[in-house]
Amino acid sequence: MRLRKIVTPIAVLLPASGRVVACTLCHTDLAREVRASVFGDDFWQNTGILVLPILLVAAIALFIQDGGKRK
Amino acid sequence: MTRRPLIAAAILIGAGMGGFIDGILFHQILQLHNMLSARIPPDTLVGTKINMVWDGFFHALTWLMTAWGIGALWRAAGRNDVPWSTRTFVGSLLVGWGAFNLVEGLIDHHLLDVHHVVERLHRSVYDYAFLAFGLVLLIIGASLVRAGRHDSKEAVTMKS
Repeated sequence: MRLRKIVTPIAVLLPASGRVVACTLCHTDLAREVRASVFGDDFWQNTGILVLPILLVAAIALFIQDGGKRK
Repeated sequence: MTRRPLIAAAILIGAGMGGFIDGILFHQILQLHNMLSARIPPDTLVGTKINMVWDGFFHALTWLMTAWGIGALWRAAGRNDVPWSTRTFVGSLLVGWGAFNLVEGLIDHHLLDVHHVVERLHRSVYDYAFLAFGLVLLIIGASLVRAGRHDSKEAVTMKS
């Protein structure tokens, strides 16, 4: 009886999750618009911006680890 | 004897966790800015979702950096020539966090203008405070690392 109380709402709500708009990979107009913007012309530029600070700090850590000996 | 593997590992972990603090506190809880909020304002559902995706990429990178640091720490722990010092470790964590704030603040907030600490104010005193906080962390961390060079040998004796 208690199990049914838990399972029933999940079973009812699960099919509705296919219509949810708040997902990046689903097939809605909103999701397509988001994907088009994220993976648009400036994707690699934005990726570079994102990666640059992390690469620099990682390079500092590597330099310290190797004591500047890596060639 | 070399402290370099321990310092490098802790810098990676500190930078990764500093990135998590930035992302979790400023991007998600306080919602003061997002990764590309100066270019794509998060004032519509689409704009917000685009920024959420880029925030996710940012968190993925900081996670990788932290994981790399944990791996490096594990390797350092297995070496007998690496002294085990709490001051060196904590100091290097702070150095990593401070370096991340300085590098990220200079590049993203000042040079490329992709986002700012308080986006609605654009570049403001908070962006300079962010840099200053990073510098303070770096100085305190470097002082701790320097102080830790004396307790290293004792720690190695205890380890072996």
